[in-house]
Amino acid sequence: MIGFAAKRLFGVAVTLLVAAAILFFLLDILPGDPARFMLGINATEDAVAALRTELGLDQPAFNRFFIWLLGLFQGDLGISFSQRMPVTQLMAERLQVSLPLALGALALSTLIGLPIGIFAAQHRGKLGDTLAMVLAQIGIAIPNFWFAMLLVLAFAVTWRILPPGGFVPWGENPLLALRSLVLPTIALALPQAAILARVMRTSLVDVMQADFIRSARAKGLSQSQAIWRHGVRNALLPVLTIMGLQFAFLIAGTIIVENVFYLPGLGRLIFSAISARDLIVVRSAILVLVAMVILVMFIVDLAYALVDPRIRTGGGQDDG
Amino acid sequence: MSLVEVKDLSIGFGDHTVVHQMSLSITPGQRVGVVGESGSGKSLTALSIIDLLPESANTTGEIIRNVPAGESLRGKHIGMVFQEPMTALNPLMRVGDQIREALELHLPDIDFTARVSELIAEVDLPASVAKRYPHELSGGQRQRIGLAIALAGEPELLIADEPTSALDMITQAQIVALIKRVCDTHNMALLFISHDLGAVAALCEHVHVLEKGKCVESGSIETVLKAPQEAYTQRLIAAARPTRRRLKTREIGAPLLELDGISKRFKLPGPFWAQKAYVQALNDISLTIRESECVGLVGPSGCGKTTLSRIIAGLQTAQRGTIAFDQHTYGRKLGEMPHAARRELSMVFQDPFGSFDPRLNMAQSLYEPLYLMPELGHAERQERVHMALERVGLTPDMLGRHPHAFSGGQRQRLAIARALVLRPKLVVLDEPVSALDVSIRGDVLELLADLRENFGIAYLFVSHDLDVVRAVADRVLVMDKGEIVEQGDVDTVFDAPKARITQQLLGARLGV
Repeated sequence: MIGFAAKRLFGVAVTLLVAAAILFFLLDILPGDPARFMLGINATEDAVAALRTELGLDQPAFNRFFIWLLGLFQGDLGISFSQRMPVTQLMAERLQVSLPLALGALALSTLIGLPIGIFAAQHRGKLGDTLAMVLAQIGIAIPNFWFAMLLVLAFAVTWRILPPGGFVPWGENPLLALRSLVLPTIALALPQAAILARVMRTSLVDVMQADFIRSARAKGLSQSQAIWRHGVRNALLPVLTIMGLQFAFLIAGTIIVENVFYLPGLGRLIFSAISARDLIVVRSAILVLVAMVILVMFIVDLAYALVDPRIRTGGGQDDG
Repeated sequence: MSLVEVKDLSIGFGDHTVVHQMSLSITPGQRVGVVGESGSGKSLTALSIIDLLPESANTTGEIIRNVPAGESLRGKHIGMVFQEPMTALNPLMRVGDQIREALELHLPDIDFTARVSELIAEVDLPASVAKRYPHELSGGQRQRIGLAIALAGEPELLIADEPTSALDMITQAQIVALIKRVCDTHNMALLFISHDLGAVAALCEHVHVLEKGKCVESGSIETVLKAPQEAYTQRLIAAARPTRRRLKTREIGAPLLELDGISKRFKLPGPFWAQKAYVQALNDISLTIRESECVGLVGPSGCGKTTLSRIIAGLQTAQRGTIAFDQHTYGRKLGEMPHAARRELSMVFQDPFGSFDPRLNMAQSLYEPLYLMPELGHAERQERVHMALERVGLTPDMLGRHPHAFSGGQRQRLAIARALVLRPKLVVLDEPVSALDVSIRGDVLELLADLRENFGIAYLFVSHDLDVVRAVADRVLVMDKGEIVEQGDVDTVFDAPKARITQQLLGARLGV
């Protein structure tokens, strides 16, 4: 198990490095001069050149890449061109909104999706199954920004029980902060819950046909005992993979939902940084997102190995 | 008083009746066998007795079980062992825990850990096995665990549904002996379901023969085997003793395939920084197959038979050694086998269900190998495919169908036809009849013999079934742990085996 984790961790490091390089050089070849953009159209050539030197933009791309990498290792993501603030600090503020949002949505979609999927599989072909799957189909089909607007209309405008948008920082009033995240979390979570429900149902229906479920029944377990003790855990394996992929979608989804709810999250930061051509922010923020997704994939891999003893060993390889 | 009394049981799905008017009874301690081919309804009969029929099945008739009211039938009074050792255990749970689960259901208030160890010892496994996961055990070991689970509730009846069919010969003989022993020590009755008359004869006192869901004959095992009344039973018995086939008009010719010093190893998985570990699959194999010769290749599972046949067919590479086939040399690089050699060599695989692409119709599958012969025109291609079909006893009007529309026996004929369209000089047959019912086996073997007689095709016949090899092969090679340990004329080798593994294989035969 330790060996497995070490092997995967090495993979994580390599992936991150490659991702950082691709990100850096892709953004570097984009047209437009940040220094000119920051100083405005009327700035003199001298002023622009001075700022370029100050920002280190006159150095070759490779040097800048390694300076950036070195900074990353020290937790220094650079200074935002447009906001004149350390990017680390900017992101820390924004993550306080986005991270609880994404994690909350992941937890909520799991809590809703898995039980519905299990229920549907147990009642396969009956009315409950059909209803659950029709609901899931609708959940998948609805775009989440539109669903977000419906939620605002119902809970904030009509019933006035939750705020329609905006964010009260955690430091000022944690309860209000939490309240302002409720609707965005639901808006993000429901479509994902619908996907999870479908995947869970299909997976469990497959597992229920498996020979070891029949063996468990022959042992003397009832059908539902056999499903809960032997079926669900086996059925969770493909679901885990989907959940890892979903986390990436959830993080990307925050960009849209944060705009609908006017939340000061990472998504809006990236959005405004792109419009302001603030490449340092864009680059660092995207790298953090990439790192989060890779980390989640790593956790999924570990969880997979924990749940499934077969992953830890694996088969022989052709030594051609 | 019978433990189980089945009276006029019929089982069907929708309008389709699968089991017709089946009756059988099992008294305490009695060992009863049910023999039949795939689709004869024998498994459904077993499942109905332990009350595990699929919900969609409808039954008529009566099953009387001698079970006190309120007690659980499954596990406590009837234990069951299934066919597939690979899938019958939960892959995510330690096997000790799976035995323990059965104990907790039926025997509260005992020392579970101690009892698990006792059960594991009873099925002849070391105590350390309890902490293993199913994928860490061999097929035979898993089947022993399945048996320990069935024994956990101390049932009066054990149902074993093809428990040995997926195992190699030596393991099969061991499991049969083990089942017999535990039945004796616990005075447990046995319902043994099998397509294998030999295994039934080794275990049971009484036998029921099923054909297409009907019981055609039943009686004591001696009577049925010695004086079978029904034609179907006679066919089954005859098929279990394959007839000997040798070349009549043709002579064995010059060397066609020569292997010299073939070695192959596989890397064991491990982190890339660790010392590499290997399994030696083949070690310095040399052999010769002559034109029109049929060479048998036997050995226990894992001995390297399949790796060797795949290397000969050019599907895998060897680390060392050379292959000379029909004046071509190849073997150490994948894709190195020249087209000219490939069209002289075909392969037929064990599983007729898995060896056809389900999305291609038979015409597409049968014409596919002809891409190796671009010089052929349309008419010639058609002629070759039709002739190949004719030779295996099928007609061209079946070409539009997809694989699922054929029975197992027909598919194996089609697989042979596919191997024949190239008119090869050598066909590698990897367990060509193992997945087939005994009654079809005879037809396929007959077909192979005819093709050899008429077209002079040479065979490498890989099989675990010594009786079949003895019937069809001229020479036999015995493999063990990646080496050829014995070879020679089939009769010489089988009548006076020298290598220990040959003696073990011969000793494990369950003949009729």
